[in-house]
Amino acid sequence: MKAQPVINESTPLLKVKGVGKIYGSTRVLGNIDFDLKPGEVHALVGENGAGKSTLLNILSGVVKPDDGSIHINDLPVHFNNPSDAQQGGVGTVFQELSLIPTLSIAENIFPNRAPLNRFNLIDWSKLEVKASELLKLLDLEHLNPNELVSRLPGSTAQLIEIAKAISLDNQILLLDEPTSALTPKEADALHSVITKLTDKGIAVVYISHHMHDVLNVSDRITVLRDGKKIKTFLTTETSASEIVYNMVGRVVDTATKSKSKVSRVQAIGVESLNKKGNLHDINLSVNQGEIVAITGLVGSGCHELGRCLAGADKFDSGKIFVKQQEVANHNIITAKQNRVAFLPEDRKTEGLFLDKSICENIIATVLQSHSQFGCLDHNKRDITAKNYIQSLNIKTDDEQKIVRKLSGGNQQKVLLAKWLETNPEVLIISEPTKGIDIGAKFEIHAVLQELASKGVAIIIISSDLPEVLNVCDRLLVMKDGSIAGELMTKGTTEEDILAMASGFESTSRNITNQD
Amino acid sequence: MTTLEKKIKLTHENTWIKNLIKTRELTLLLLIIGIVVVMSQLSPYFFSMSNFRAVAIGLAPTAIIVVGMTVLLVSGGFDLSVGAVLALSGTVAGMLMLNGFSIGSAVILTLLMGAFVGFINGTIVTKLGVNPLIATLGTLSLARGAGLVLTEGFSVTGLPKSFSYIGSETLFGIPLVVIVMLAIVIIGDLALRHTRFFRQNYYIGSNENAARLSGISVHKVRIFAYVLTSCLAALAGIILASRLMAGTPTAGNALELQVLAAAVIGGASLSGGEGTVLGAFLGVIFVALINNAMTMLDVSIYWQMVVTGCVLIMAVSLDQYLRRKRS
Repeated sequence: MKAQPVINESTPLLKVKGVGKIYGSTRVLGNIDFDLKPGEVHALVGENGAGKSTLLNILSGVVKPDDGSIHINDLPVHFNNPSDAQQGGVGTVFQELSLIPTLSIAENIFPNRAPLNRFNLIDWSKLEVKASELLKLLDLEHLNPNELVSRLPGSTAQLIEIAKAISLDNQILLLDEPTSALTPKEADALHSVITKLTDKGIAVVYISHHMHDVLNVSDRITVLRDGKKIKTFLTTETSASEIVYNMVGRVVDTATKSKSKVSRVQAIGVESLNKKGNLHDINLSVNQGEIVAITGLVGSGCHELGRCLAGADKFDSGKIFVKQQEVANHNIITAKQNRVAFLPEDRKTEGLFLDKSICENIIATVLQSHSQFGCLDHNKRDITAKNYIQSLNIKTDDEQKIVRKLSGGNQQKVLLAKWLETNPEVLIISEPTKGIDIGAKFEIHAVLQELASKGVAIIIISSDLPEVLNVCDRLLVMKDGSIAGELMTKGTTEEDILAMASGFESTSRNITNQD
Repeated sequence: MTTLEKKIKLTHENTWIKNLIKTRELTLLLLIIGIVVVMSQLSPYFFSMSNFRAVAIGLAPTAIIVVGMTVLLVSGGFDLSVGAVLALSGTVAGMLMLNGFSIGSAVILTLLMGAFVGFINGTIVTKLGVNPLIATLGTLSLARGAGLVLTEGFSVTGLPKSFSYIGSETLFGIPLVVIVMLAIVIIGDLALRHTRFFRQNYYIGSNENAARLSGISVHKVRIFAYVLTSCLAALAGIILASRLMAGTPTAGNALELQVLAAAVIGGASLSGGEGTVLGAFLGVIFVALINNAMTMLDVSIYWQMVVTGCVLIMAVSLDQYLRRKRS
């Protein structure tokens, strides 16, 4: 938390008055007032669909507001496209990385704006110098501006995005979920960069799901809900629980782990599994009815392990046992035959057929049982889908709706339904609630626990520590491609996990109250 | 200096050598030299000025068009209509001249027609969001059909004598056609490497949405790439007509595939964001030399097509394999 909110007196740099947006017949944003003072970090929080992204898109010129006005330095501005906003002094780092891997760092920082020489050609040496200056500002002076972006780790790429956004000498910087791809240590580094920028008078709008990031870095917090502004808080005068309460609009009932009876029968196990460069000598065993988390920092190999367990990726050596039987040729087809289900991390690109309907998605894994004489049984398909819409509480008009139009939480439920229909005995689920509303998150947790109580072995690969601690029986913490240790959920804190995952006794990261 | 800093400095110093070795241009150049050396031993007629001259004149239309096609491929698009536009341009230029237009105005009007076809292609692809495969397949048929309608299938002949200047004149012993081609290739390569406007194609081809959010006018740049390609195809058509002294509505059949193959062999990718004009030009030379070598060795023209196909598939498969190994 930053110490002195002295900025209160100064006049706002950015002023948003009564801004609203209507798509078709739905109002997604209404009457938003928002202001930003020089040198301030103003966090914007809310559940998915609360209107954060719409407001961000309006400020960055991606969409035009239907009503209201935006003022920068007390002058009204109208952004028709992103380039207008950039020229108007607003730089944006969107959540999805927008770097071009085949171009150099320098070219990525100055797309379309590279300095020119007297022949009107790109002045490469000047470009390099300008890029180096920005890299230095972000404590990245060890990087060569001519290095290709494809050779950088993801976290550095995030910082290059920020370099790109501030390369315009903007006074206003919009950051959308900047830490979602970062390890806690990298997030800290990013936050110190933000402090450096605000010291220079740059004002930052910070959008994040991570409550402790928001509390750590911001001066003020504005909560949006259902397209409306609820309230703006001074960070020093509020708490995580107050913010969450305002985001959700009710007291959140965090499902705590009801002690399920774990059987002693192994459902899935591996012995000395190796994958060159990613996984080293992994041994694990998960019993029926058990929920086990595999967690670790970015790059620790937990997602790679999940993919190998599921048969989605090949490994170099090691044995996999399903129902105590060694599987000779473990791949995604045999895994499915052995009732192993896998929900990948990136549900949009790997899990769902976004432009197909809910019912078509759900039966994608079970076409055989929904066909007669080789022809698809549409009635049966719709009935199956309807059952899941009811049992998993998927919010939709009907089962024919295109999955792309659903919210993240409902998409994840469709993906879950798709695999539940295969009657899995082992369920491997990567980042089950990433980018999902708090409400839907707990519904998904409840479903997982119910499955476990029916004897399904569940492996959750997640970097969301509160989730892991709430839902699982046992944790496997990974570091550098090996299992660094095992923890029982009971009595374990987030600090314990982070210490094990990073290999340090204690971590530098502050863990704020999560009650 | 810490060891880490030293390490970083060392890698900096090695990068450009490594980059050079990794470039497709160098590999292709070595392959081309290889073909020349081997063929010089196999055929007494290969290593001669007259043969190289014939090859250079023969590949000029492809090389001119490949410049535009590379820009398009880098931006994530491509154009199947180039062969048809080439044929249409030859016939249109010829008919304009036969109907009293001066050579200069006929050439300019034909280039404008080429630009117009490109504008149509670009607009359909960007504004209407039609896949470039379908859009340019449509204009391919349209342009090819228009050429046949205009001429009823016959070649346009009886062109003014001075029109042959473009196709047959030489400067310092080098055919004018070759000089025009080299000028376009060099300017094209420099532009795609060093100008802000053309560099935008790399951003667009790699990630269109990110390019838009970075403040690049995606539609403008993409439409321009289509206009450029069609314009160059029209120019190639005029040159070909001048060389043959006839506008042939069936000229340039399957030329689009040759152009695409050469660009891809030269390092461009159908998924966009990659490629250089120099690489594509070397690709054109490579394919032309292989065909020339086969002619010298009395391989039938039909087999030449088979071999070109094999070369394309092998080159791209090898590239994919090396890429996967590297990452």
